[in-house]
Amino acid sequence: MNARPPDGSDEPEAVDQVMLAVLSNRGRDATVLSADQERLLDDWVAGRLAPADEERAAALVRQNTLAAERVLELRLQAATSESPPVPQHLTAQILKASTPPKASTRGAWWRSLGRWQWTGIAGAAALASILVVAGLPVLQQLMSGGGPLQVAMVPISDRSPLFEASDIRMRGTPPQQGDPAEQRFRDIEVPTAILRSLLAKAAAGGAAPELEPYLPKSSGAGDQSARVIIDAALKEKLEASDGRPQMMVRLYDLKDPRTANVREISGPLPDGERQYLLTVKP
Amino acid sequence: MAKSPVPPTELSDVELVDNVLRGAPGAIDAFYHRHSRLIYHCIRSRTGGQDVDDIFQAFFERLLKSGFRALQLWQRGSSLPVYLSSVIRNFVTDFHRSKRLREEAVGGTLELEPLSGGEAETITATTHLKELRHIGIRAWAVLEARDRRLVCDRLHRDLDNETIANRMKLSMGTLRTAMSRAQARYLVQVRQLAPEFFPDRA
Repeated sequence: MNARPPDGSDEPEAVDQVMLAVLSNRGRDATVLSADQERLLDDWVAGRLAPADEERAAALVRQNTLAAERVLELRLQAATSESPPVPQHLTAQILKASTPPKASTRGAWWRSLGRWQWTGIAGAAALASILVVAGLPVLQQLMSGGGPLQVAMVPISDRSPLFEASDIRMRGTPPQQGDPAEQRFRDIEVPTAILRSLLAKAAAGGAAPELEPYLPKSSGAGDQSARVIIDAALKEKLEASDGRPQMMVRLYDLKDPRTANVREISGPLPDGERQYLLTVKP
Repeated sequence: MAKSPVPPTELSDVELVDNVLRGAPGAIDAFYHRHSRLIYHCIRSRTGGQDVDDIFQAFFERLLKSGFRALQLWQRGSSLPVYLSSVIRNFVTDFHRSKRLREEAVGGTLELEPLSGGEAETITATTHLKELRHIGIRAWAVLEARDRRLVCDRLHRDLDNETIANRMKLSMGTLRTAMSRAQARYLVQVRQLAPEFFPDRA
């Protein structure tokens, strides 16, 4: 296969330095980017940088995996914005297919119910009424702010239980990428707005339902209340985040037997309560 | 305490995907409106315009039928658009492979079922750059010998122009021209293998 341009095209394409930098990324470093670095990359992809800054951006992309991935995402979005939109008829078909069947069959369903089924429905309604009456105090407690997900902040003086072998990076080798399922922690990306709100609520000892989507979903978890202990070091890291919209944080499920030494930080676990430690990702 | 719903346009990709996976009302619409154009672009750039609508529709049918399994496998914290581009790359390859093997029209999800195997869905976010490096190696491999040497010295050995000029016994001016052309030819090959990252020429 001949890779030369076709005859008549003496001038090669303008060299795309952004893509060349991504292609020469070594994958050795995955340090989280600062807000300045993100701006630098955004400006580079948009063609707004002076040559000296372009060199800096290229060097960052060659070294840092997250920088290369960000540039790839920006390239993808830029190319998408120049591409034709999805035809409307196709959008209509797909969204129609994704919509669950409407209640148009409801009438037929009601009519198809027999006497025994009506008796069952009446019984279920009576049971639901009893549950509502019995569950009202619980509901009132939830509505008054004492929700099932409580947060509290603790300073951690001895951080050795939080040491993870997978965080060690040897020079000249890529960072170890363990299977998340085999690790005793999860690294998750959380909007900094939510983290700020959590820290404020933790200081006041309040409830923070906005964190619930980020907690692992385990069987029966919905029945249990949850407590999230927040590492005070997270506050310092958040203050140094310089307006970034999202931040990687580390979450330990303290019910996991592998986190026995981490539980020394939190103390004994109350029965019937999920408990997590939210800390900084090194 | 009443929680005011966050408008879909302000949700992060993590929240958006979590909403889709737990079946929140309007979540599929929100996901579609944010990412459909990118998905369409990736398919279109890979197929050159042929079968785009069929593949696009099949992709969403597959997502719905599998309970958004591809989204369950997305590694939080990595780029969702880049991950989707990898998933689509494999989906399109499988679509065409199946079409070639059957030598008949592909009509819908029933016929696509056999090609919805693990390949498209076992991609993790950490493999994006590795995949791109493989694409780079394939692109490099089809270059002529001198171009291969120039690209390797510049991109992988990080040598400066003076050292490369000495190694190849070229003047600096000749080297600059040769290097520029070698890199451009290299990128032409990369573009053929990963067109979604380049602007549309049409």
